[in-house]
Amino acid sequence: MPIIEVEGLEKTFKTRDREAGLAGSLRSFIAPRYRERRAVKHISFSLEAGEVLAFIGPNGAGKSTTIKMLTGILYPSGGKATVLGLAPWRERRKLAFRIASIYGQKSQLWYHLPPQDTFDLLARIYELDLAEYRKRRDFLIEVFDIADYIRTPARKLSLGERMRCELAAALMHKPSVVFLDEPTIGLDVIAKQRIRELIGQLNVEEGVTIFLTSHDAGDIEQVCRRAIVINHGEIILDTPVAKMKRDYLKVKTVDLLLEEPAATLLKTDEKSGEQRLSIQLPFSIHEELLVTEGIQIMKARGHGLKLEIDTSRCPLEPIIAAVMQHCHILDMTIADPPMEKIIARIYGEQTQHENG
Amino acid sequence: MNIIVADHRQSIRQRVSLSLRKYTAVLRVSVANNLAYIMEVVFRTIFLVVFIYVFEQLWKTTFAVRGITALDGFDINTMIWYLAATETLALSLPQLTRLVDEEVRSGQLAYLLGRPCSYVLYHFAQYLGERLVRLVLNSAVAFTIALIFVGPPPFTWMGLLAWPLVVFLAASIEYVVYFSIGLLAFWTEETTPFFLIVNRLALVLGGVLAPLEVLPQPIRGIALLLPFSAILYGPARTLVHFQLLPFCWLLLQQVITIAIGSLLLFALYRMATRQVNINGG
Repeated sequence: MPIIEVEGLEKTFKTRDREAGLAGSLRSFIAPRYRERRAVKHISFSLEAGEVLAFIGPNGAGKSTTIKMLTGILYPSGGKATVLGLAPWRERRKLAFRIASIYGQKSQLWYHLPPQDTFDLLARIYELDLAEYRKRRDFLIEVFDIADYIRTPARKLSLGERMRCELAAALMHKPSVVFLDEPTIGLDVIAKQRIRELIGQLNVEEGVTIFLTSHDAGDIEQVCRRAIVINHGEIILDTPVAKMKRDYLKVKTVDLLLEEPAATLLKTDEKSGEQRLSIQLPFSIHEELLVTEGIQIMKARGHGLKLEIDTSRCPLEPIIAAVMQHCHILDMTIADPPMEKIIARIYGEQTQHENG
Repeated sequence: MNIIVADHRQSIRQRVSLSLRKYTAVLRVSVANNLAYIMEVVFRTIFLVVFIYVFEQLWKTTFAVRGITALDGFDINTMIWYLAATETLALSLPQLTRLVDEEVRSGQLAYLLGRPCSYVLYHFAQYLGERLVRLVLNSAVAFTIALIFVGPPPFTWMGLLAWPLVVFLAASIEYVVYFSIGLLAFWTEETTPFFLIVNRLALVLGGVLAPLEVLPQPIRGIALLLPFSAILYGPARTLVHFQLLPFCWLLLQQVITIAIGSLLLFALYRMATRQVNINGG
């Protein structure tokens, strides 16, 4: 039986229009004009217990609005939803005992106090038995490796340390469903990785259902098994993450800072006149090879080189190994395509599918 | 039947006890949070010292120029102790309206609304914790200054015992008023003007600088009827000039104000939560 069921859920916000200029301001004051914005448009889906769902989309797509309706904070304009058999906006307090929500850009820790104080307070708010709370707290401190920080005021913690404490705080009452809204936003690569591992561990060890929103493709690839893509308030894709990876997350952007000028790695293709990467791949018997398959030179300026590599046609490791053979890499960043690009591709393929 | 009723009572008792523990814990954490930056709170009391000094000089000159020893039953000693009592309370008001306003605008209220507790009572407990720290500090400083300037206070035991109760009720009235103004952030773009109007009215008509007895009629009569007098004038007068009848009248005025204010606050809160429009989604 599904743990979350959503049927035709809708949310429309009414916003006041502001005209520019002094005369416009006066007009807006005397006769205000309102505009309706449909943030979520009739969406339906369900989620089974223990699933890890990525609810993704660009900024303003309706992800957070959906989370806030499912946690009972927002009243929908239409449709139905149940979470653990409860109607969120009607039975918010009852539901609150069984769910947790974490907002990456907001904090629930008391700013001047150590996280330990927030944990103790949450134990009271969630009406936990004190002996059980202590056991749970000690367990979470160990799992999240936060023993060194729980007596440091929250304002003195780094973002990564704080986020681990936020996660521990949210899990104190053993929720069945955890809503995570952009949990890795603003974190550095190592902190992001740690948070992703912990979310995965939480799902495997405690069977917690995870509902994660993000516009970082890395969160989805590493943590989730199913992805729902939402754009302009509509669901445009509901698919297993493995399929999504295969179809839409295969292109990686590799940004390199080289010791030598980037031009030393490039040659101009005589036929097309385009610049190509000129390296010797480890498996190649040729001394030098103009690599064209699946690699696009995005930018080559001075010592900087930006490549877009289609990993389904050309694996990453041999390319990087070959570049390293040719010159010394001072710095390197591998990034997923931005969410906007993924969505553009999904739309592109859907249009092709419909036309074809 | 009796067993069901007893079980029901037991369950209600348990719920009340759990809720009480919940909000007491919030109050405790709020006290600890405010003690974490106690030096800032201490520095704020410097204003109190300057204020009492200036008014002590002013009242002394007024009394000397007019050649009187008392004004409407208040001599210089009572007047300065009255001032110390009103200032203790007036300067201990936390920035509640701004806190609620910011929570609404930033979307931070999502955390509190998603918890198994009342948003209004959670903030009330937090507010009381902050106010308690400020009140204790302010009263320690103000009463010491008053003692140095004009000698021992004119307090009676009855006044001293009644004061904490009426101060608590006055703080509750202010909570209801300023929390409601903060909730206006759901509809308006700026709540500061509403706060400033109410706060300045409370200071002028609430008798912060002088007891309402010194005001001319009909302003005195109007001020006494308004709820502002139950916030500053009433509690300060109870402390320096305790009389049973005015005290009972004050209690009644405070309880009625809180009851009506709470009804309005919860109605406003209900309307607000039905049209939450949280930023970032």
